[in-house]
Amino acid sequence: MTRIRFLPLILLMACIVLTGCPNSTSTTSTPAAPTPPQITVANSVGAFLAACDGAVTTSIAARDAGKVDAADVREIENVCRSGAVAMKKVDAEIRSADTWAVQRAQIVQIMAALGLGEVKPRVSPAAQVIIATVVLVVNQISSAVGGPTI
Amino acid sequence: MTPETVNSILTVAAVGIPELAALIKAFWAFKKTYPGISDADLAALLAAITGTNDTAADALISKIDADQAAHPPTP
Repeated sequence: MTRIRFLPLILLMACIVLTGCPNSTSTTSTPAAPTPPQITVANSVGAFLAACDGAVTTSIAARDAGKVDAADVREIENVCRSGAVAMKKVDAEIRSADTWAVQRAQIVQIMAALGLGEVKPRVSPAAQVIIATVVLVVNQISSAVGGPTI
Repeated sequence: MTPETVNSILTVAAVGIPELAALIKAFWAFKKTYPGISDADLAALLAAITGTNDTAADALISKIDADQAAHPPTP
């Protein structure tokens, strides 16, 4: 079961590297306008779904190889299904005509209702490693809207 | 480490490669900037991104449902 840990770690390393400091070229005259927060959230939703897809695919392969318990895989799948449904709600909200203030409040509520923090104690350490990337991206979304992180 | 163990690890790793690539691509999106975007362009961009997201979400839900149907919980 512990032998598959390198895969989520690779995913985490990729996240850390790719969301790290940007290249430092100091030749600007006027500061660029910030990226609209809705786009940051939309891109975070995409990353969340990619992380969930990776977690589900990896856990299925690990289960089929006898490295992870079927119950853990089911738990991960249930978390990711709930996450996918929640992300569709986030997508619908940021497509809406609401102001960003309203959208932001709605997204905070959707993320809080996901309850991902309550899942971690229920799964094995191996499964916790697999969903670590998912938690990382959820925190990215929560941070983007000023909500709590796990 | 036995050859069987190595083989199973490689199998799991190989299965995850496309998902890892998709995740890296998704995180690269954070690096892209959108200076001075108009409201109309923003709406169009959000429609495109969220449309892709919804397709990915539906595919993920289908994948999970199919796997759980094939592997029902043991009593």
